[in-house]
Amino acid sequence: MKFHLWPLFGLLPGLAPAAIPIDDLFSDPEYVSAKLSPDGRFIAVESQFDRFVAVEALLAGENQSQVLFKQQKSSTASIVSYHWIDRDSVLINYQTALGANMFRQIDLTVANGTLQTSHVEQRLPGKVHSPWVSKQDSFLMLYPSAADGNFNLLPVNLKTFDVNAPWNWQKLNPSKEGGRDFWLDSKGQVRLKYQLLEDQRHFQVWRGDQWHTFLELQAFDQVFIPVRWLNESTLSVLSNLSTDRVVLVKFDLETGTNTEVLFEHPEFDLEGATYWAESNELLSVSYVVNGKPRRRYFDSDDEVLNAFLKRTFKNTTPHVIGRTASAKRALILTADSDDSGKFFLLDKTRGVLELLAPAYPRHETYAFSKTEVFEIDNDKGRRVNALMTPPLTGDEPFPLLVIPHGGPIGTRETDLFDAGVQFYSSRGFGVLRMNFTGSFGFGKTFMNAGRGEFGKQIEDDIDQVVVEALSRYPIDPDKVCIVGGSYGGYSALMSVIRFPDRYQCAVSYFGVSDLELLFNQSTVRNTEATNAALRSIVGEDESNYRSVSPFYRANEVEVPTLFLSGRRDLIADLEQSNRMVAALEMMNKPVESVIYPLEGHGAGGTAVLMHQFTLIESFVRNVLGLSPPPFPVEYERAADFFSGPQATDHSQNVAARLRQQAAVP
Amino acid sequence: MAKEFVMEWRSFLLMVLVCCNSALAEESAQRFQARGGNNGVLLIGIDSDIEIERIELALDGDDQNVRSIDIEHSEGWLVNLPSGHYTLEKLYMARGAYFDLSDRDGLGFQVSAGTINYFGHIRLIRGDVRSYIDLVNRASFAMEFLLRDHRSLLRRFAVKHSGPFEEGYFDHVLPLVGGQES
Repeated sequence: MKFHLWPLFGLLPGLAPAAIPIDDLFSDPEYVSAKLSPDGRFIAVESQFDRFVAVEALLAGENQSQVLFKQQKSSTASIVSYHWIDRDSVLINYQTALGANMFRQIDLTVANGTLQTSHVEQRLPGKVHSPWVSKQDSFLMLYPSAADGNFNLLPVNLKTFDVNAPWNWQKLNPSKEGGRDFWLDSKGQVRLKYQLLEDQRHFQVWRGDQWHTFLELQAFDQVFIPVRWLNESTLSVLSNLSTDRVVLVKFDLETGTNTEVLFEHPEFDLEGATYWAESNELLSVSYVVNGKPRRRYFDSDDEVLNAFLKRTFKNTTPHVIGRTASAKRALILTADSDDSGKFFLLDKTRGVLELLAPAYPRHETYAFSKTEVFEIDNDKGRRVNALMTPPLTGDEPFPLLVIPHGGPIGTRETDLFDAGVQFYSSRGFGVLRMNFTGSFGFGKTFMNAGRGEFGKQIEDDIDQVVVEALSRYPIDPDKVCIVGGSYGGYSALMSVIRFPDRYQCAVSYFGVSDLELLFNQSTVRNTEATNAALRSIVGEDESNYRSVSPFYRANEVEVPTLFLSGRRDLIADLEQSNRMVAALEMMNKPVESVIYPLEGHGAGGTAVLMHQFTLIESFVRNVLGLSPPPFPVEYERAADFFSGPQATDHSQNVAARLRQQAAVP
Repeated sequence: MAKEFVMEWRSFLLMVLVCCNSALAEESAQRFQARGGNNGVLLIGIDSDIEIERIELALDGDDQNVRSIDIEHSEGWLVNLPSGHYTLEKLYMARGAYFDLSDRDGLGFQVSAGTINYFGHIRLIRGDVRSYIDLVNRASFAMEFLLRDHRSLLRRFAVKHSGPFEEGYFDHVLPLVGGQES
């Protein structure tokens, strides 16, 4: 039992900026996914103990909590999800170490001021769809219907459900046809489903006595997310089918068209919308403004609450993650680029705002750097936003790490807490990220404009952002390196080729170096469909590939480079980095390479992740001739890492360099 | 567990560990050259979590002509074969266990006379439920192997992709290393 009211020291400002030990920075969160019970009497939370993961419950307003469920940590056991299915019952879906899929319902009661529990449990091969709000002790389960990946929708009460009597099961979806997901109308009838047919997304409505496809989505960029049944034939939907950005629309099932835009943001895609439970009144919409999640409320009480939270939390961003229908109690999560998250309970009845727990207690004694956002208009007149995280320590002018994101199409950077960014910042580096052309969240036109722009517009945007940052911040222009993973790794290499005077080094982890090779990596991965999808992103003109492939332009790389790759990488195969490393070695150019024999496309665990960050930081520090590391022991540990199963041919030189750097007083 | 993975990683390196003796390598080069005529050299690699002892190849158009190649005792990953079109049929592990790949697409390759024909690397990743097998293009590893252990072969024979992968790696790199262009 450890989830309880915390002293408010976490709110106190004035922590001195200092380098943060990597173990503290990359520690696992102790609390995640807190949820308020429907009547606000309890708060449940997933928590991490040394040897266990658990779900705990706290009696709201009282310093009393209890572990509802705990499970020994292992590579296979996990809590899949948990939910409040009624005002005093928590449902936990978990997997045992042996792979069994279990559902446990825990009922909470308070007797003589003490929290007490009882539970019932069953092994079932499904997953939770949603609580079944109209029935106590019940939930809707997606139950696998066949080997085609489809499900049936079953109402389940664990106290009465007989897993051995399938003839008694009452599935809610009409006909024998399953689906990937279902939506219930206001009467609790399943009238809408989604399924994959020949790799196309089909949305189907139940009409007469059969399912009718009313919408077939083929393109990757088409968004259609049903939110609410408004009446017999009208849905509220988040969609971009007839607009550039994702907007909230009324969708007419009879005509298959949008009839009215209910809400749109002038610049950004909408990412969520909520309605009141008992009416068709819109409660809120959410979107991401310059990397920061925002929610707009349409109810005056919520507007007042939101304004109060903004006044209270001046240095971070509060998010209402749960509230009672009466809004008397609300669960708040604060989160920002310099705040790894804290859970609060707002109790209007008692007029108090209580800190329940920080998500990462080990972060509480450190200061973090706040990210600043600026924008540029690129040479095509498109607005590109950039996220600059100044160094927390060190002198000015400061060294800069430019970190382009992966993808590149349909992904983006956010302004949330990022342990990697804070790692570099706390060690004296400025960190510059950006949402270049092709990023998600700014509408279809912006996203699709990134297609076929490998090594071209995307890198132009990155360079324009770097130039702007150099003019805005006290950056040492002779101490700038570019670091990226996956597409970001490709971009790092292309950037030092295209803008050789801008950078002093480049790091490519799990990156791409040869675009032709993307289509010739594997007999299993490179199917016709995969290659067609790849071409739609990389560009249809294959004759152009070599001119924008770092491998074919390796002679133009004039700065030291570091490559990290995974032997089990099925996305950017090991060959992508190895052929670039080999080419640079043939040309006697300074290059370091580490192949992780047990890793795929990125780090599979925290230990490897920390190793990668230490390697990158040590490499940059070495190339730029910066002061010795704040924690030499981290470098020694990174060198020791290679003595174990992660040893590779290339890594011994890197291990020697790490030990050398650690030894400098 | 860790010890097991070390063993597996070594199997990945097999291609570069075998034939590390330069005298042997020179002898190999002479023998490959002497065989000449209608023969070509197959270059094949393995990246496997499970030790593969033998592979079986079928020569197209000749049901009786199945070549069994003993990995453990082969001359590195260079195999002298009569020219023709072959298909990778089976991978044999210890105790006779095997993967039948005869229904897989994309596992055919052409052996051209007087040429080093790189087919690809057979990749086998052991999973919790089932293993993952594919053929991957690791041309740079193949080139590192030739440069390290068979430089003389590289000077005398052209190297090219002979399997499903069509791309320009060898044509681009061979001039840089003084090898024969195809």
